[in-house]
Amino acid sequence: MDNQEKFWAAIRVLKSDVKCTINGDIETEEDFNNIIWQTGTEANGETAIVTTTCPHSEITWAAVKVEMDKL
Amino acid sequence: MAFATIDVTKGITGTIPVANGGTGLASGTTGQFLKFTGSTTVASSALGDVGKLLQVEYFFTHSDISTSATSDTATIVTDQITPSATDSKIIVQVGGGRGSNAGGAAEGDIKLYRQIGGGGYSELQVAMLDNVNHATNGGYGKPTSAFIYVDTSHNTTSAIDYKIYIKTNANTYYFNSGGAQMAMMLMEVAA
Repeated sequence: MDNQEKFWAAIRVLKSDVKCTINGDIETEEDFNNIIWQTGTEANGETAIVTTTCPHSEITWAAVKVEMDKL
Repeated sequence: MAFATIDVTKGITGTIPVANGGTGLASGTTGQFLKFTGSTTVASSALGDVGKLLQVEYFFTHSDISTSATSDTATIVTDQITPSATDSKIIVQVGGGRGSNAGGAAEGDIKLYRQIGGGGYSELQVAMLDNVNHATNGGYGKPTSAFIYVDTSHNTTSAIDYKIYIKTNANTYYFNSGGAQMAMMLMEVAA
């Protein structure tokens, strides 16, 4: 299981239906802070409204790392 | 009476027309070519830069890129080019990669977005639809396909950024995985 597979498995454990995009491996807190989280959709109906601040209280770098380290 | 040779500097006035094997021209322009401008007329013509490849920009990555977002979100697959003329064609070529999925079947929408002069990105074209129908996690689908777009509508000499945006219809879609190379190439061609 590679890094991103571990990340997605960890995310599914912490919360279902989380919407985000990752460009590259998630190995450090800095990587985690570069994740693009979708919080909504623009009026054009296509483009996501995004933030790099995780909007889910259940999902923190520490919690994700714990779950990833189990895999 | 037979002639062994004909001295064309004597006995001929004016120019020899095309219909008689000439050019119909008294003179031409240095560095230019002859071009038919009618069925029996020839003129001096500049070939110019038409169709000439003016510049090439190139980006590639081996990073995994994946999403669970259901609206278009930006990837790191991006490159910038500054056209030398407003009517140049910009050929955008994206290719390589390895599609995959996690958490269930996924179909990725892959779109080309464009930004002119730093004014913000907007959708330019749906590039590819990558369906990775594997019911299990990490089931690898077909490689992400090649995509070519010819931009004739930029009308600018400001910097243009092209960027790939992705989304999934469900679960997690991988635009690139397994360390494969995903590349973007931009080519400016003179109009």
